[in-house]
Amino acid sequence: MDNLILQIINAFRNTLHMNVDVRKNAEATIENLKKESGYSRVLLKIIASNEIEISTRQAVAIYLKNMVLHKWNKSTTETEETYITKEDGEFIRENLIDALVHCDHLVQNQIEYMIGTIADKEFPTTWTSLMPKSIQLITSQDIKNMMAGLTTFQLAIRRFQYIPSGNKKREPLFKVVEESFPLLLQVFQLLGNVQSTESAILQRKICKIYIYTINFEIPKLLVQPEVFQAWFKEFGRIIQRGISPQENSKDFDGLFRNPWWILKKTTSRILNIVLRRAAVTRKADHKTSRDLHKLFMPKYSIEVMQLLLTELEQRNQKYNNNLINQGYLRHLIEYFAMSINFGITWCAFKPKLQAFFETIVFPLICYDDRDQELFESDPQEFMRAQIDSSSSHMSKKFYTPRLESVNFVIDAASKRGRQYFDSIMQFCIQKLNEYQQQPLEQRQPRIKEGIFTVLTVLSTFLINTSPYKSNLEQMLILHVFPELQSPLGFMRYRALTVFSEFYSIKYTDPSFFRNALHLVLNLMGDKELAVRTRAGSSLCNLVLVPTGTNEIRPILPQILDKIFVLLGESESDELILTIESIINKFKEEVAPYALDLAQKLTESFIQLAEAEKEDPESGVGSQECLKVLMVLLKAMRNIPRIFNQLETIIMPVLKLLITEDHFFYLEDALIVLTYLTYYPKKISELSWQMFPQMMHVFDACACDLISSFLSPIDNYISYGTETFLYHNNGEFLQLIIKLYKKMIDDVHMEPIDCSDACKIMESVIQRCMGKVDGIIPIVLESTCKRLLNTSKDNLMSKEFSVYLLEIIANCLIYNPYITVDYLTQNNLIQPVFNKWFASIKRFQRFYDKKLTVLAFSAILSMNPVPAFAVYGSNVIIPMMMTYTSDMMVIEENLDKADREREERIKAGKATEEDIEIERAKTMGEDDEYEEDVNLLQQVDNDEFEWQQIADNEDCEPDDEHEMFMDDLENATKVTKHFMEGGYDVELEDSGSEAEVEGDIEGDEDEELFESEQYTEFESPLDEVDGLEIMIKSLQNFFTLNPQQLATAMSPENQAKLQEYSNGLPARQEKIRLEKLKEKEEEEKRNRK
Amino acid sequence: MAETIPVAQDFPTVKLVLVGDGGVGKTTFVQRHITGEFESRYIPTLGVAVHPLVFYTNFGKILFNIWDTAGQEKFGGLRDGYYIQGQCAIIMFDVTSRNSYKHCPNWHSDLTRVCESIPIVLCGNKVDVKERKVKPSQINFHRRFNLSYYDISAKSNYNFEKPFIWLASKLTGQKNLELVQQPTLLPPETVVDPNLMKQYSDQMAQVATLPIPDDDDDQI
Repeated sequence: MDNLILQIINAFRNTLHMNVDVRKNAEATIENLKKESGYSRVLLKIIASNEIEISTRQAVAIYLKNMVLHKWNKSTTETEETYITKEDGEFIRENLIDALVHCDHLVQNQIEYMIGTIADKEFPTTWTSLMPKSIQLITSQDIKNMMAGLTTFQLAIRRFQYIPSGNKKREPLFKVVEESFPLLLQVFQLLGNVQSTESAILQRKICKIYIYTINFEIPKLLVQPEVFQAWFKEFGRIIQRGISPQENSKDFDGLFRNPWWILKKTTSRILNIVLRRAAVTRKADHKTSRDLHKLFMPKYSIEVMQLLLTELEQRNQKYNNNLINQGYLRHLIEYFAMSINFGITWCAFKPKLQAFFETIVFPLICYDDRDQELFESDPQEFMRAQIDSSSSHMSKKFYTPRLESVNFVIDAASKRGRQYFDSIMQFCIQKLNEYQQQPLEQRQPRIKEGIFTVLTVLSTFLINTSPYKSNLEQMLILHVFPELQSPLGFMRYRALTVFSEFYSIKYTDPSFFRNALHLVLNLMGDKELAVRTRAGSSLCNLVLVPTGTNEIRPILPQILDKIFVLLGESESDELILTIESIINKFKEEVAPYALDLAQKLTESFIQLAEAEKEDPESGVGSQECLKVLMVLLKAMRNIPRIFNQLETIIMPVLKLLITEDHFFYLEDALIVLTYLTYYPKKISELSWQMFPQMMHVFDACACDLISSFLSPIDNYISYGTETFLYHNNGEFLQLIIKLYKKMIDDVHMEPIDCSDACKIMESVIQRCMGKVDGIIPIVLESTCKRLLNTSKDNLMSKEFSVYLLEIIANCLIYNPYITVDYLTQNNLIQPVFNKWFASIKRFQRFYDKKLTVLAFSAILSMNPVPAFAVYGSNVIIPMMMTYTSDMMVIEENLDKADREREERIKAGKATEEDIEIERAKTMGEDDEYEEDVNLLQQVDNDEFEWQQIADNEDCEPDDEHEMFMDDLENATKVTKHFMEGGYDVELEDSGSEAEVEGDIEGDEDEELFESEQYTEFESPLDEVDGLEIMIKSLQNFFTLNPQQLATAMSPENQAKLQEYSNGLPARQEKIRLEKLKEKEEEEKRNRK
Repeated sequence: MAETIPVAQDFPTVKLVLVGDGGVGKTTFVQRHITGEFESRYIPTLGVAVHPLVFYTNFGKILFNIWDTAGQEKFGGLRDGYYIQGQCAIIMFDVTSRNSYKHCPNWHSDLTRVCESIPIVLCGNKVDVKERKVKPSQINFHRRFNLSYYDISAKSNYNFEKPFIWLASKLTGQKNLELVQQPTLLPPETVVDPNLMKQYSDQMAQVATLPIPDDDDDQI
């Protein structure tokens, strides 16, 4: 070894030294050496030599990794230059894979990271040796080589999983697949004969590579029949493979990490992905997708089903102690749940359905030892894990085999016609009767519990289907009510669930219901927390029944008190719902009590918060207290007398909470303030007193909570415009300006928060039309400065840049003369409009397009039209025309949906209430209709209409709305000529870094503003017809500048404009009628 | 700063790696132990500083050599190079900074790439500050990787010893390990609100029972 190498090794060894001086010296040496050319090569050589002790090699590997990251990963913000020359870089790239093979695994970790980093940037175009090298290793039949080869290949191909079909960036993948997959398959087959743990890991790597490849679109090679068959043979082999007791984990927790289980799970995932991809083809799909459909559905889909069925049937003998990976089990059930939907798979599955339900799915639904353990040790968690709990509406990755089984039951019972529902019910009835007839000691309560669960999830069908609906009373009396007194806690719990689920049925004698209700009231004092809480929350439904109402009315205060005690014990959201339900039901009765209740709650709250003396365990939690106040406000919104008094009672709490000292409650307190300022549609004197205080808190410490401030501030501006403008010489307006400048002028403020500041400013400009001339230049100054700031420090997002441009649009609509004047004087015309045109495809929502059209219309309506607009009219006008036609398409689609809804009402398939609820849901106000939903079940005892779909046909997709949005998107895409060539998808760095929970999003497309689809604020612009304004402005423009007609308007556009203006009178009439209808509906709703 | 080179001792000496974003209070935290003092001014750590901290437990004395690493990239020195031979670690974030929490998974994967399966504690610092941004219910990252979590406040000494007790108990395999002598800490400069802390820990307990996503699909 030469001197340099020795020197380097020594330096790195010393970086681990405890002594600070030794370390400092070593680091200084390394810093100096790094400037020597070829340094990085030397580091790689050191890493590869296994003679040096591991910690030093590791230190060198990490150092090299950081250099590689620095060179290849542009996202690092450092300005420091890289010391890896072009030649060094190539040398490293070309030798990394070899180094990976023999290194210690601690060093391998770093090398893998380097390979992934470089491959993301350079594979397959520049890093051409990666493929041949990894293939050579993969086919070497040496485990170590294969591990390195497959790891490299997996890292290289990983990023393709996120590139959607049709995207050009996907093309290189196809060649890679052609060259590598035949060999991969051979290796896969070979590994099938190797029973070591390493073999399991290697096979899973191959499965992952397969998933990455087919995630969006299956490459052509893989749908060749013989190729497809060979791969599926291997997948089948893996599913069939048993796991010996030696290979299996010793306990439940170990199953998640066991390589054999992980391999099986990944394979089962592949089968589900392929079924989902293959089953439904759409016109827009690529040819390979249609090939996959033709290939997979007729034959494989059924063979796979048989394979998985056998696996499920034999699982208890095959795996010792029933130790089965839960994710795997869930995937297996999911395949069958999906199979119900598709004609081909359904025909094959149909004869086996009943047995599958009885022997596979039902046992998974029944109460088991693990439930019992939870029930005893952690009742809170037990409640959360229940399928009827609101927290169980979780994303698929939290799904358990039981949740998947419940899904299966619902689909099996409802999607393919009445007879399957009947067979499931027959089984349930038989089990209930058996239980009833058996002597006590032979009864199996866990089976009965499972039946109760099935009845609960099928309740909607049972209530609306003869003859079941007339037998429900009998069922409750005979089988359910006795269990309210069962010695087993979980049976009392489940019986409560069933009773409350079937609350709406009719009783021949009200005393049956009354007696059971009294049992429930008693259970509110049960010794088991879960039972007590369930008893309390079951009142949510039970108070809706007239008998229940009458029983509860006299003891209302006691009941509410009891629920508050429970709330203190278990903080269950369902109890809040119960309180809400009771308050809504007894509005009149609760009204006087409401004030008392609010008084009590606020007093104890203030005590808690100020004195900190009381034991927080003794009362209702503070957050729950705020939620109940919200419920009270919502319930009393139509009784102004009470509402105003509530405001007086609650305001001191808000005064206390909307301060710097109670940050923890700030968000909830602001929601309460939102209600106070929203429901009365005017701002009281008292509420105005909160305004300066709220703004102060924002200014002092709450900049990044701006989203919570948005709604109350918007209410103040919208419903108290006059006071907002003129109180104390415009003090309030100044506060808002201050907020806006604080957010926008500071380039370090997060774009997402600044966007909310823009929404607030937009509200000011729109609501105060003609009254705030003075602020326009100030607003424009901040807005343009931020928008055009190109410094690296300026935090910007695509959405935010749109919001900034829309502030300028709003200023133009407000007053084009002031705005154009300001922009011209500050030389901002060109940069601003350049930015605007460059951002054109970010204006995606209807509202964005409308604002743009209105803003340009405002300019073109000026007299004289400013010179820049005349020159630019050949760009501006076509853009307006395009946006307008986009808007027309969207309008057309919405109209179509409306018509379809109306037709559904006419055809009697949906009631007006349904539609109303649907509408409320899409508008994001579904909570206002909760009570109606509840009532609905009660009145609606019509027969359920069982679907009759021919066996060989596919079911309708579940989510109509989703389909509608898909189609809408396709329709608008056609007109978006500037969007041709697909979205420019930026690759999220999918790197190996784990992400914080909740941030993980799979395939993200480029739809901006996603979350805002339905939460649009009311805007005065809603009343303005963009089309009409545009036509007028164009007429104005061409009258003043007739010479521009030829350049600015293509013949097609001229024809279109003519068409628009011919249709205008009819359109105006239509809008007038729509408004009239809306008003009527509004009144109807208010009367209700 | 005086650092001693450990000689052969009859008590265990452990290398503890302390990581987290710049400014979350790592240096302040280790300096609460009487060997140093609370510095309310922020002086970024350059590269790394090693602090020896002794704890007396019912299973004997244990010495943590705490490698307090630079959180800011530009002062990073060797960065993850300092993690080598780490036997346990603390990942720290600041509950008033969402970003510092968001970056924890990156710190974690850097750590495990070097140290693989060592015991790790996640700590949310500055819980004494009123403007808490990362609420207890949002802290769930540690559960995916079986880390332990503690709310701490360096300024008030709140929960100072907890991470060390947990790590010591993991490293020694003694479940009932506890301190027999409280470490000498500087007097607290602020007091935490006990009610608020109770609320926080209740909320943590509630969250702790939610299911963990089954995400072995992310592994290479």
